[in-house]
Amino acid sequence: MNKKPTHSKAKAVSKLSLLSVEESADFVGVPRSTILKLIKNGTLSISKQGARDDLKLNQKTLEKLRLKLIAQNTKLTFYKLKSFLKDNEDSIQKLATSEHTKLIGGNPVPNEHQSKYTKIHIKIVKAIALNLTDFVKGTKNFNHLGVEVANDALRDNLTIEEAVDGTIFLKQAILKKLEQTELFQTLSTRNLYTFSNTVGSYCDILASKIAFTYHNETTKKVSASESRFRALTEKSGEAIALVNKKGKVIYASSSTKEVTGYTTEEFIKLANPFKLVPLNERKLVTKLFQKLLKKPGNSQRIIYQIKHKGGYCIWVESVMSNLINNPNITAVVINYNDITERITAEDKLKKSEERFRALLNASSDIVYSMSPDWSEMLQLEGRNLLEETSHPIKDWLKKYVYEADMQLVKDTYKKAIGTKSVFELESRVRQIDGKIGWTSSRAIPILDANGDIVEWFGAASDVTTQKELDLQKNNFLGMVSHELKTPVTSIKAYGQVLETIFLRKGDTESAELIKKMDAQVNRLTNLIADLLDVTTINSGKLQFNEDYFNFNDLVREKVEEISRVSRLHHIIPKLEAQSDVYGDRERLGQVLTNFLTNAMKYSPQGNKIGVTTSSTKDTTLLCVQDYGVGIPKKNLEHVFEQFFRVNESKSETFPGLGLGLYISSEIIKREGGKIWVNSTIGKGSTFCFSLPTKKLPTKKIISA
Amino acid sequence: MKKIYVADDDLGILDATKLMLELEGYQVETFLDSSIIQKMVTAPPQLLLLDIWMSGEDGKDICRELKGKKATKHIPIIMVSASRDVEDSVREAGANDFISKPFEMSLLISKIKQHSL
Repeated sequence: MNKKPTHSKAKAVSKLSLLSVEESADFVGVPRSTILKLIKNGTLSISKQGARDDLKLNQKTLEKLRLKLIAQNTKLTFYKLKSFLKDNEDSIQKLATSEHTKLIGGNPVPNEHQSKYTKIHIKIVKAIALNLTDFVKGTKNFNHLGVEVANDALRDNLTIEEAVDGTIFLKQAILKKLEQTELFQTLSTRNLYTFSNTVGSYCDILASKIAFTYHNETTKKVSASESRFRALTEKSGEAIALVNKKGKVIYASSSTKEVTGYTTEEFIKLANPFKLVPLNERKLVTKLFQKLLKKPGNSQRIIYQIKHKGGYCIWVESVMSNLINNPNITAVVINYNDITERITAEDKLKKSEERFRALLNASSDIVYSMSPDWSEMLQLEGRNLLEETSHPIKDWLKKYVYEADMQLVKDTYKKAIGTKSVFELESRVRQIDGKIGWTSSRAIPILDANGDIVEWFGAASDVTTQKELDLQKNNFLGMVSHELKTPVTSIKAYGQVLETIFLRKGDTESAELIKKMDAQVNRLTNLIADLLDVTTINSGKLQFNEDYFNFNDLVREKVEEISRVSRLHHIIPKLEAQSDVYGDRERLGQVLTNFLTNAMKYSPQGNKIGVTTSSTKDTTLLCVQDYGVGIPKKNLEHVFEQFFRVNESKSETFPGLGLGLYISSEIIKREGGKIWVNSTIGKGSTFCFSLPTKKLPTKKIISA
Repeated sequence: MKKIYVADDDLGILDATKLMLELEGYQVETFLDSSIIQKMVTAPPQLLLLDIWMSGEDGKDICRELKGKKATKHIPIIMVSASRDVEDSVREAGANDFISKPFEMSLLISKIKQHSL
């Protein structure tokens, strides 16, 4: 940054933004008494004493104080949270285990697993406490811990569910336990949010790392067991049995003992070999056998379980061939072998795969992995939605991403690489059928011991239908807006025509009536607009077109617009904002209009209205002050709520659905700013918002 | 007398706007569909008030077409829409100005005066 302009700007800033004690208290977020105390002990200096002995404080100093208080408070809070974790290690662990027990249907976690489980939990809680303040370092540490925990768990023969669920229930347990403490009451929303976010992220990292380690291990095991299986079958580990029409065994090979545990003699003595099949499957297998009996020359391959002589069940794959009509055999030949190991390994792999996927995204259709810098796609499983990629490719962008979204994808992964954080994006893709669809994608970086990215693992789900529905809804809302506004436009126009005619005839009385009608039409128009806005806000779809614009110009424009409507009020602008603002001009204009119309509405006596803009280093501030009826103290905190209206039993009532300030506060929130109000009953209200002075858009930071 | 064309797919709006502008001393002709394009060439007005949502057609396309024609590109076009968020796209289509529905008569008149001096 260039030094010179900053310097001169600082001077200009210090001249303005003097706040009263009350405003200061609100601005800093402390009680009034605290401000007075700080003035007394000299921490805060008073900048100016007005004619009525008003204490005025410099906003810049106050901003510093506010930031200092926040930092102090955060530090203290996290120190407290750390000791909370340390003090509650045991009870959190127990809570997590009991939650898990509830989920698996009341069956307690097996005793032999309990202690291993406890060991892992305590290790994780300790690690969270240690890494609470340094998130970057923490992320690294938890990646290591994930591998460590996974290996421990594998060694201890815990299933993937047990290992992964451990971390998930732990997250819930920590927050649940926290809710029971007094500390919880004192936490600010911001601190609570940061804490739960940190704990959540750590647990997510652990879970994905554990799942991934398990996934790798089980993949290795399956390929090992598969080759072993092949080796076995090639050596013909098959048993053979000949069964006659009545289902009686007439021959059993000597290998029968290896598979079933029964000797040849024992096996032949069995009245019916299918008795070895567990009851639930016996009917099916017998039925298949009967069916096959009717089709000489045919054969049938099936997989089922049989009870081994040792009392346990094994999986067998068997091929039954009907050779009844073959004069040399006259029996059904059953070739079967033990495939238990393969089945369990496959089952485990399936489970671990499912788990892995579920973790990344509950409804994932696609899983993929990327090289550390995203220059290559290593692999992608398309699930019939996208084409498969089984070998690393460099032109993945061209292969999968819709052209118009390429830059967005690039920007997003560059940002994720830069911060080593999760890649998250909804974008358009080329589907296997050639159509353009929408996916919601999420990828996690896997870090090595040095904290460098080794690989990215991602999952994406198909959100095309959802997007199409959104589009339909937006079209519908557009149509509603058009359809409702069309007759209103005609009514308004006819009214204005009538008004003009009456005025020209000198019939001012009738013209006055029409004017009143016009005001009602305007109310209706605003109601329609508000309702549409609320619908869009509530569905989270409020659109923002952000860019840099001159803030003072916008304020001037809106003031002029409002002045045209009412000549009753005298609006006095004092515009001293120093820089452009980054945001949606139209939406911020809407907030301004809302502030101004409110100021007029709630000062029916027709007074002056003050509009000021100013800048601090990090924010741009706007205030609209009226000298009207004011708001009772008990209502102040509710004015930004949906449908709230200041409803006093006085004769005066004010029009509106009570949506305007709610919409305004949602807009300011979305722009990353703050909105607040100061008011004294009978003296008037001051509504303000501040917007952060945003840095250059992220796109530019990355390319720099 | 200055001539103004008004194009909208709603008869009520056409009628009311016509009355309004006639009160101010303009000669007004109204259009429900894209027949406006032909008329703009054969009998050009001083200004066109064009709704963004014409029956079966996008008013922006009509605007783009008129602004692309040598015979009509100098005629000021003010586009009208019930939506407040379309101003940018309307300007991209070449419109000289924009007003949202429902409009104040005074604002409409001042915009017309500004563009048809």
